[in-house]
Amino acid sequence: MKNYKAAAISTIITEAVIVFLTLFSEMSEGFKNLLKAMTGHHWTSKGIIALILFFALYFAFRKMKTKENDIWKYTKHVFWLTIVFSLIILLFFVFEFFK
Amino acid sequence: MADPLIGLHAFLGELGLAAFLWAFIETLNPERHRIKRAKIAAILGVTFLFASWIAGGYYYVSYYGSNVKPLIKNGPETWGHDIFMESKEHIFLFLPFVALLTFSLIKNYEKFTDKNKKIRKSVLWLCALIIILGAMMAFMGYLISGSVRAALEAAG
Repeated sequence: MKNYKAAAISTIITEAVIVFLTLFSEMSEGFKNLLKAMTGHHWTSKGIIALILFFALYFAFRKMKTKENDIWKYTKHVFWLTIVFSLIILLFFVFEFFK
Repeated sequence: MADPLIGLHAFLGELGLAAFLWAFIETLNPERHRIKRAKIAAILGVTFLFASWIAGGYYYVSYYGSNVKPLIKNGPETWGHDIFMESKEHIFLFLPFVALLTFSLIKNYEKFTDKNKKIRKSVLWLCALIIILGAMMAFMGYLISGSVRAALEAAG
């Protein structure tokens, strides 16, 4: 992957979609069953969707103009958003447990 | 005895982390020959993390749900599954993508002109992120194992 900005944006969107799939499948039994029906297990479907989405997004964004200055900016976005997304997932399951 | 696949998943995950720790150390002083080694470390790290995903995923889908999950859910520490396994299995999915991104940056390192400042810092931050997430995975794995032990002890 030669275009870092495209790869970083693809990473961020893929992570956001993983968070959405995780939370929504816990809130909607119908959606979880739909994911299960796709591959036999909801988690396998989430992984495959994430993998396909990441490469599809990179393919779509690969011609995006990028400057060297963008690298540090997008690295910071990836770093902090990954931490925030991880905390959202963890806190969601903590909340669900004590609900 | 624990399923060997869970051991393989943990082992490959640890190797992935060690590889990115190696890439982090090489990038601290990014001379040409050290960047070459960082590239090798990063490609190894990506490979190990994807392999860990496959081994852990196969274990989770084929064994954990039918054997381990019911044990934890009937034991005294149900949070081992409800909080930590649920979080771990989903947060883990971030790791291979961050690893690929890190590899792509290290692979193209020599092409940048501002190598020793922001590019170097970016590689270090991304490697650190992988190490932080990986350490989180290992700690959650430890808590889940503790819940299994507690359930087995409670069952006598």
